[in-house]
Amino acid sequence: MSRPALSTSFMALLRRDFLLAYRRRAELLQPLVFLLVVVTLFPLGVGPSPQLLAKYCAGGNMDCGLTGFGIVTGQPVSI
Amino acid sequence: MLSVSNLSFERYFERVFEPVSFELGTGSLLLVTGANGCGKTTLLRVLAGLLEHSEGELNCRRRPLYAGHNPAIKDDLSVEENIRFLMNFMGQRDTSGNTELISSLCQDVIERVGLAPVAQQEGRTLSAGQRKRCSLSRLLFCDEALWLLDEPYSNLDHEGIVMLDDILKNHLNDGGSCVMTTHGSLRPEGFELQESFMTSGRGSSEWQAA
Repeated sequence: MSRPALSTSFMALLRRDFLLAYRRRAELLQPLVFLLVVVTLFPLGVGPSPQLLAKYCAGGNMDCGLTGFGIVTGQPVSI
Repeated sequence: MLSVSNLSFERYFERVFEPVSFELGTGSLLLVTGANGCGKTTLLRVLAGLLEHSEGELNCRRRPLYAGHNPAIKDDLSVEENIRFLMNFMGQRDTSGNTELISSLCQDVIERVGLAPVAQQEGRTLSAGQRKRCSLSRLLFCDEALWLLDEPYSNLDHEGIVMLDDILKNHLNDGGSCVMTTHGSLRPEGFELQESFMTSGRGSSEWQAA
């Protein structure tokens, strides 16, 4: 026998990581909940004017999506 | 099988250990001893190809099997799942990819390392010695000829030490070879071995091969 093909090892790793993510389901939901909270709070913070929101929301939400992703990978995006 | 001459490794422009030279033939065991922090683990990582050496020559004909001093166990997976993953990830002998054979080999390995009673328990519930046994299980299903074992005896109880010695004996009798580090208190019993004492690159003594 020799070492398995790279694809075999990769599939084993992928399967294990999905299994690990499934074992910690609460952590999977964390970024989504974070995003929902931010999306809700953002207009309350800057004001409900449609012009203002049209200008700032896209950037704000994108940033929060990234931060949420950072939370789940354990490496929050820091600037 | 493994030949090393004047091998050294630098970190931040400073040698981690003094240059080492040795030859390791088939069926032989090299025991690397030395104080804490003298570079034993770094040497093994260089031999395993995880670090690039700075000077000297390293000739390793076949890819080695490296078992680090930290047991690679996922806390959220059971013992069986951990071992099964390792088998799929690193490959296993005598099964040719047959799932049933892999399953029975997995059960066999779990029994041989003495983890049958805790096979379904999560990794987080294991004691330090059980984690070590789980990590060492790879020695039973991989067929690499050269083993690089970093502090394999740490945390093992007497029975575990005897078990590891047996595994090692079989490996050496089959023409395998092994480089093993230890900081001194626990060492393999009843082996013919080469022993080398390592010194830190910050010290002044030379590498001594006995």
